[in-house]
Amino acid sequence: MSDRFERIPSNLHDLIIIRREHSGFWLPHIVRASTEFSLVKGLMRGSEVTSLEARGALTPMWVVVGLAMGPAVALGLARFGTRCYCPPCVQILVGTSQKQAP
Amino acid sequence: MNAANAAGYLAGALVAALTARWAGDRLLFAVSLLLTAITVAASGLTADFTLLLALRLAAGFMGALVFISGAGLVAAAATEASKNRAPTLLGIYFCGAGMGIIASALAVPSLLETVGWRGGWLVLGGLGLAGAALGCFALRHTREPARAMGRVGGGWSPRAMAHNLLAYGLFGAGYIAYATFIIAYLRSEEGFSAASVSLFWSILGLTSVAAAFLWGPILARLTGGLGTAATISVVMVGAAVPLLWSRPGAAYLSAILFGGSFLSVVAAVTAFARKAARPHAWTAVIAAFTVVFGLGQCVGPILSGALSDGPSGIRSGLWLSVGLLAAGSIVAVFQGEPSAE
Repeated sequence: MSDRFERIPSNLHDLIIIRREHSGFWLPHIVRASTEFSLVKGLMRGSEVTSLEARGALTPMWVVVGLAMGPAVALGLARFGTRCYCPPCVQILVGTSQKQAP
Repeated sequence: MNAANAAGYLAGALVAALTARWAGDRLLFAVSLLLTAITVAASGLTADFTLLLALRLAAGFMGALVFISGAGLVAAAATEASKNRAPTLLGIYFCGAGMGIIASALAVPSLLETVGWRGGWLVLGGLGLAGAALGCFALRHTREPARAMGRVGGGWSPRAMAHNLLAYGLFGAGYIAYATFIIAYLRSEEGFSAASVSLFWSILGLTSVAAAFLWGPILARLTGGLGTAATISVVMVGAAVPLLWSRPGAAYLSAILFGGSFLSVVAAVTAFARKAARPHAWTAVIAAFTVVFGLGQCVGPILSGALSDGPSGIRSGLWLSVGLLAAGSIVAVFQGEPSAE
């Protein structure tokens, strides 16, 4: 039967503490966040808890896509997107100084 | 208008780290994102040039706060990822700018004839508010980057990343010169129609999104400033292509190369910052890079504009862009591998 693992909440940013139940005792393990996925996966092979823990440890991709709306709005729309649409921008098309380009 | 936006962006970058420490990255991201969208929409409500300038200034200021706080949040999220996945996550975040470019390129030109330029701003503002809502929803599933307990600064050394900082400043000056004048160049020198410009802009945005997935694994393998150098080099080639070959195909190739790398420079620099600083200093380091970038953005259009007003026209301004990017690429090569320990 596989050992059980649980992640212990911690304020340490680049370290993650997990605990492992072995023969009725909970043993602490400290791993670096960057290696957590492979280590947890390796230790907990075959365990149902394993996949849940490993999956929960990673920020879902859609969250990063959601955060990408920041640059989308701040840069894509507000900066680059408006480049050709504001009225003074039209001046460049009719021959104004390049220093006044949008 | 562009100078006001760039000045606002620089001012925002200067106060971003302190504001994030005071308010937290999540709150700062949410508030500044909503205000950016509102500022864009408000630009459609006035024709007063001074007010428009003020709104562009505000949009630049808020935009820097959004960009830096969001980058700090994604950098923190990337700590949970594997070494290879982290640059991809950062790349996806930065390619958001490409999503915005695509959205504006597809949505606005078709509406301009029917709703006018004011309607164009309002459409962009509406899209911005929709994006802001999605961003705020995603924010609920993030956590604050680590903060140093009881310490105000530290955790990074500007000297240790001097080459990359300088390279990023040169990139800021070089890329913005291209972004500012390429449309005017295509219109005046290549005879591009509004539809062709829209296609050019769409290709540029589309490739910038795709590039996040292509550059991620490459950047994970490159050490020191080589990631920055590689990405800036491709940007430089993209900027040079339309000057070397005067054909529509060359312009679209330029959009592919430039679009496929200019946001990846930002991802490369942020990936470097994550290695060069302790987690509590990431937002401060990203802000420092953005300040240098913002300075470049202010200087670039002025230099290129002055050259473009000369006898050689826009072409000489665009060549300056190529030169600045080449210089940035060379400087980045000398950046050594950092250590946050």
